[in-house]
Formats: sequence, C-alpha cells, structure tokens
Amino acid sequence: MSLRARTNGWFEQRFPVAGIRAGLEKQMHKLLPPHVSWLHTLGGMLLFLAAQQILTGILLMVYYRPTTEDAYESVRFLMLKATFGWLIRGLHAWGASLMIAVLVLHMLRVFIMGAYKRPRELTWVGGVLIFFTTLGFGFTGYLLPWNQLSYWATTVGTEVVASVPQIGHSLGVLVRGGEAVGQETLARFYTMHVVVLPWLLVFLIVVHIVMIRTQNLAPLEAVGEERPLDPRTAVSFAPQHTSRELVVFPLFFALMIALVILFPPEIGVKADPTVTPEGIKPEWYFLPAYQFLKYLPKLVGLALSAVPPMLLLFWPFLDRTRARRPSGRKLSVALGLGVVLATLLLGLVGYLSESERTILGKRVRFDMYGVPELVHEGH
Amino acid sequence: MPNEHEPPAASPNESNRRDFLERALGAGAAVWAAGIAVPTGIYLWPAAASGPTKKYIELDPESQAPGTGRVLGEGGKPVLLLRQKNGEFRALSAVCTHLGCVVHWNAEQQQIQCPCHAGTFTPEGAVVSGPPPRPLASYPTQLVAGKLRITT
Amino acid sequence: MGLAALVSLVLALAAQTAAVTKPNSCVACHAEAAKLEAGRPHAQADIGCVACHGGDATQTQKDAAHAGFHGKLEAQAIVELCGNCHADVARMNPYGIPTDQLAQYKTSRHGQALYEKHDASVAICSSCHGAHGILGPKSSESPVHPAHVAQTCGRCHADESLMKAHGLAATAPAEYAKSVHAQLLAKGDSSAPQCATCHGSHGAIPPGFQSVAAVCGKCHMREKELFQKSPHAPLVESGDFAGCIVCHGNHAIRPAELGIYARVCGLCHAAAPEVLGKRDRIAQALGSSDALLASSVSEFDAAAGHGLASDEDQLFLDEARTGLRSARVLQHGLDPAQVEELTGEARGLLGELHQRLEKESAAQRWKRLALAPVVAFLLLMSLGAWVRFRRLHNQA
Repeated sequence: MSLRARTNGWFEQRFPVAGIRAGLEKQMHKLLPPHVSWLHTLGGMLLFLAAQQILTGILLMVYYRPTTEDAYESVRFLMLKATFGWLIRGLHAWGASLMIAVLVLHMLRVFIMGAYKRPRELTWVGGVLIFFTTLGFGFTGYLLPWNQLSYWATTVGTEVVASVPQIGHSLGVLVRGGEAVGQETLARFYTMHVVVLPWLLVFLIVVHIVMIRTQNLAPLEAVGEERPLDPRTAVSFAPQHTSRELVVFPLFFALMIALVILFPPEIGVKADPTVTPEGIKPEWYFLPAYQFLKYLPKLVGLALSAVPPMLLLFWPFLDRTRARRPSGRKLSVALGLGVVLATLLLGLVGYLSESERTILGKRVRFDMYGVPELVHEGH
Repeated sequence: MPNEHEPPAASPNESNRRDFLERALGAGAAVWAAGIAVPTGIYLWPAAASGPTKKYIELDPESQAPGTGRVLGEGGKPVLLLRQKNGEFRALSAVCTHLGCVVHWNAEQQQIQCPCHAGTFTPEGAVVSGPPPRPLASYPTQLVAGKLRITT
Repeated sequence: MGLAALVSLVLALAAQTAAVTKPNSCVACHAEAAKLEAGRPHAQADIGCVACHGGDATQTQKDAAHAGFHGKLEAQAIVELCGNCHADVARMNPYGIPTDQLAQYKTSRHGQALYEKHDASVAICSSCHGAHGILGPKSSESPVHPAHVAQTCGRCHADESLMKAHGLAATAPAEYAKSVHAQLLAKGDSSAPQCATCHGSHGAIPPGFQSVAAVCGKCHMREKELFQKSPHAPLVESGDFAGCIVCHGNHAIRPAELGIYARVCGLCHAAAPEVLGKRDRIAQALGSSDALLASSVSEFDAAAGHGLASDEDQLFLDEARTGLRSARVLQHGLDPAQVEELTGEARGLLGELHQRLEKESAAQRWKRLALAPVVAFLLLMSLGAWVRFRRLHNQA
C-alpha cells in the first residue's frame, strides 16, 4: 500500500474522515446566489488582511520591546538592522490602514445590497463589532512605537475618554494605568493589542463566517420573497467564486508591497512628555470623530458622537423595510453613501485643520475648525 | 447535482493549455509562498549580536594607546574614551556641559578641552576653568572576554 | 533624645529673636524699620539700630533714647560708616566678605564725584544695597543679586534728567535689556554678565579703550586671545580702535551674525579693497558653511525620521557643528586662511555625512528596484487567475 493510502487508513480508523471530507467538499462547492460579484471578494481580502496582521504582528513581537526606554529603539532596530524588518513593519502598518479602509468598503457593499436585513441582522452586528475591534487595534497599536505622534495622539484620545462625566476620570486612569500616558499605558495597550483583541477578533471572525456559511449570502430579492437557488444560475464558491478572489488577491498584495516600499512608515522622534508638538492629530481613521468633537461643547460632542456607532450597530433593527436590491432602495443607498462621504469629508477637514498648506501657489493656514485663511508674507 | 468543477471534455490543445495554466499558477503560488517564508526565516535569524537594546559599546582595548583619548560615536551619543599611562580606561560623556559641543582630549596638556568656549576638564571630568557648569558624566568600563565594554 | 533636641531648638530660636529684641527701644516707635531688619544678616550679627544711627536703645523715653541720635546720615558719612566696618579684615573674615569695597568705591566715578566734587546725587552704599534689611548679593531677593543688578543700576542710569545733569546718556539700561546677556540672565543663568561684571560694582567705571577686550575677555577668553593677535590689536593700543564694542556694541549686544561684516568693516576700510577682500573671504567661508550645515541638518532629520541615520552619522553632525562653532571663535583673529581651514574641515565632515546618508538611502533604492519584478510577478499571477476565471465562467 502506498504511504498516502496507509496514512489515510490510519486516520480513517480513528476519525470519521469520510464524513469530514464530505463536509469540507460540500462547503467548498457550496452554491452562492447568481449576483455574487467582484464586490464580494472584499470579505476574503479582509480575512487575508487579518491573517497577515496576526502573522506580521507575531514577527514584530520578536524584536519589539514594550518599555518606554526601549520601545522606540527597538522599532529603529527593526527598521535599520533586522533583515526585512522594514518589510514586516511596513506590511503591519499599511495593513492596519488598509484593513480599516477595506472594512468600510465591505460594510458599504453589505449595506447597499441590503444584506443585513432579516435573517442576517446578527451577522451585521457581529461585523460592526469586528469594526470596533479593528479600531481598537488601531488605537492601541498606534502607541507602541512610542514616538511623539504616538504619545500625544494617545494623550488626546485618552483625554476624550476622561472627559466623560462622573466616571470619566476613573475611566481615564483605568485606560492609561495612571494620570498620564506612560509605562503603564504602554503595558496595557500592548496587552490589549497582542492578546485580548486578537482572541476577540478571531472569535468574532469565526462566528461571522459560521453565520454566513449557515445562512448563505443574501440574495437580491426582498425579505420574505427569497427564491431558492437555481443550480443552473447559481455560482459555486469553489472554483467559481474563489477564482475571482485569486485574481484580486495578487493585485491587492502588489498594492500592499508597493505602498510599503514607496511610502515606508516613519520612525519619528522619540516621545518626550515635556514637549507638546503643534497640531497633534490621531490616525486618519479617527480624524472624523476628532474633528467633529471640536465643533461642539465637550459633553454635547461626546453624547452626540456616541450616536453614529449605536446607529451602525443596531441598523438592521431600525430599518425594517424589506427591499434588498439597491435599485429598489435608492434612498437608503443615497443615505449610506452620503454618510460615508460626509465622514470622509469631515476627516479631510480634520487633516487640513491646524496646518499650513500651499494651495494653487498661495500659502493657506487652516485653523482648528478647518476654516482657511490666506497667510500674508512678512506677518 | 451536476459537478461544475469538473471541466467538460475538451480538445487536447485546450486541455494542454488548461493543465499548463494550472501548473503555472501552482508554481507561481509556490514561488510566492517561498517569497514569504524565506524573508521571514532570514528576519528571525538574529541580525545583530545583541538585539534591539544594546546599551554598551564594545571595542578592542588595544585600539587605544595609553596616554591617549578619542571620541567614539557608536553608542548613540559621543563618548570620550581615555586611557591613562598606566593602561586603565576611563569613559566620559564627550558632550560639553556648557552648550553641547564635542570635547576632545589634549594629550600635551593632559586635559579635556572644549574648542567652543575654552572649557577645560580634568581627565576625571571635573571642570577646571571656563563656562561649563557641571562635570562630564562618566560611564563604567569593564573588560569582558578580552573586549573593552563601555556601558552608556 | 528627641525631646532634648526639641528643647534645645526652641531655646536657640528664642536666643535668635532675643538678639534682635534685646533691649531695643527703637522698635517701639520705628517698627517698620525693625521689621525689615528682622532675620537679616546685620540683625543676626548683632548690628542694631544704634550702630548706624546712634541713640540709646536701652532708654524707653524718647528724649533719652534720642541722645546722640544722628538719624539719617549724609552721603559721604554713610559711605564712611559702611565702608569702615566692611574694611575691617578681622571683623569680616569670619563671614568671608571682601574688605576692599571702600577703597574701590573711592576709585569709582561715583566715589570720585562724591569725594572730590561733593556731589551727593551719585550712588552710595545704600542706593544699591538698601538701608534696612540688607541681604548679601547671593540672596535672590537682594537688589544686587545678578538678576536684579540691571534694574538697580537702572534706577539712576535710566533717569534722563538725572543723567543729563551728569552729562550722561540714560539709554544703557534699555539697551542692555535688549541684549543677549540680559536674555541669558532672564533665563536663569546667573553667570551671564550684568552691569557690574563689566563696569565693576564698587569700583564702577566705564572700561577704557584699552581695557574693553580685557573686560569681554573675562568670559570670551579665546576671542580675546585671538583678537590680541589680530591686526586690530595694535590699533587698540594706539587708541584708534575701541575693540569688541565696535562690532558688537557695548550694551545692546545682540547675538553676533554675519551681517556685522557687511555693516561695520566698511566704516573704516571703505577705501581698502584688500582688507575688504579678506573680510569677504571670512564671511564667505562662514556663510556658506552655515548654509551647508542647515541643509545637512534637514537631510539628517529627514533620514532619522525614517530610521536611516545611524549614531555615527549623528557624531559627524555634532563634530561639524563643533567645528563651525569654533570657526566663529577663530574669526576674531581675522585670518582668512585659518577660518577657511577650519570651515573646510567642517565642510569635509558634512560632505562625508552626506555621502553616508546617500549610501544609506541608496541601499533603500534597491527596494524600489526590486518592486518592479515583484509587482510584475504578481500581475502575472493575477492575469493567469483571470484567464482561469474566464474559462470557469464560460463553462457555466
């Protein structure tokens, strides 16, 4: 008997191999609704990105040191001395931003196709929780290089937490591990980033995939009018849909490598708690919220900024309409697109605020509200 | 249920092209996997003898003759290494405590001098004259496995 | 043990206060002055009211207490009174206070005006040190603490009408306030020069032409050494050139900058092209090195931000900076060759730094080169997968 056959036999005597194999094959060749398209590859890309972040994260942990004395130096070591360290770090840093960007696109696709509607409300909720977890990864990870941007952006972020009425101060102390950002903060953020959030993410992702697999992808018919899949028009997961993912995957990977090489992440200047740089800002995915908070008094802003995440989380329970096809729900689609665009715009204003730029040859200074003002020479 | 993943019968040319494509993609995937695995392996091989938090300078003790001194840059900040006539080493910060110029060793006068405002220090780093307000910090030195180690 | 210590402490404190409140009837009416004196050096040394003002502090009845009281003394008498005690070596020794104040004062312009012209409008001991509650110059509240000297001198020397009466300008304090020295003092560097540093305190006199370099040279020793070897030095001897203050000013000393060359040299040497030529060489050597340093610093910072600058690179920058700072000192010898040599060395270091940074970023360039084949490979994979996709979909 061949080695392969012998190995198979050994396992067959102990486990229901045939049943497992049949189950896997069924999953692989599962039929998907005929409208499944290139837009449905976003989820697969997210899975790849999550795996990549975990892998590059593990590799980074080999050389990163989570103490205030050594963190910055260890990142420098990674960039300068560790072979391919720049690549691992670059992939991790860009991977983070791309994961959030692709997440937003994926959520937008799901929203536009009404796929969150009954019976898939919990899949949407789980997805939004994954989104929050990813933002948590971004927030905790950003502190780890311990440069000026990290330190002060985290200070600003934890200040927002600490400004919650009544419990704010205690919350702030809990998050920071003290009254100010320091070694304790670094230790807590590191623990969250490297253990707590990864386990949470993996759990949420597994649940998300199990739910999708058991309920199958949402069709385009309205709720209650779903038709069973016609084998003549249905698309197989493998090899038909996976062949799409195989086209997109190398392109995506190429984009990542290009970003890492052409726009390598900075090391910055080592964190100095005594020197506050001008115009500190959080990472791009927090800019909309950050800018929003500037326009309103503290408590009003905080209360209002809790509304969009809640709306996002509970949307399937608020939108009880039954149409799924985008052409049949133009208002919803417009709303969804509008919200994303408005958020991006707010983020852009946040990016421009408190900075001086040259626009069309003129020096323009934007104040903290984003209002531009021409800078006159010799001021 | 028809098995869609089994390709229908095709002409030999087509099936050759198909096989070639599948094999080529498979080979490409293998190259890709190697392209990920190999850098990862190299990355994990310790790049520098002491990892990211090297906090000392190591050098050959005989590279400094007795009675001489020189400024080293490898430690992240300038370090003045002096070797006394009796062979003993002393390592001091080479940053003048006045305005931060790099000091140097004047072997004739057996003094540490700062070229900027004529601050002078004893070989132990104490201020002799000039504007420096504080003495030069000193770093411990030790001989470890035949090498001079300065802990900065 | 602790109780004994406590008791002795209490007794000691009582003894202290007793020293001031030892039968001192003056306090009964002159409480203000006594309050000022309490705890201050004179009171602690048992110098009471009577020592300076006369009278009898043991008498509680006014007329008896005022027996021999001479109240506020005249200017010269005050000087003699303070001066004679403070000139007594045996008396001052335990306190470590110098005893030359009176002798110095007599040589000062203030002293000369007072003794020879009996001009009582000049400064005397109490003008600067105060009369009651006198603190030593090292106390931060003393009017003669380095941080306050300029303000104290300014009380008279910024008073236009008073200065005019003595034929002096009243601009010095205002000018000094603009100077780099005043700024250093304000930042808390009490070794920075104030009025007394250059003019003397008790022997206050404006330095003569010949002594300007010596005065500035107290701190700027290297510059003075070099200046003495420069072509300007003999002119100071002959009284044709006032030394440091010609280029740097005397009170409103601003940080030295290359513009001085353009503004000042021509005032004397307008008709001497070889001199101006030397000036140009020096200014050029320094100016172009400054520009090179600035661009090296930004190149270095950009590289460091990307983690491409090593510690050795930082040392090159530091040594170049040191070299250029030394060149700034060296220029006082007014020898273009010397300056050019030093700036040349610094520029060499900066050139090396640039090469090192270039090499480090060139090492980065190979990454961009590698990008092309990697992206090409991935595009090819995508293309192959696309062909496969079309085939699969055409079959369905």
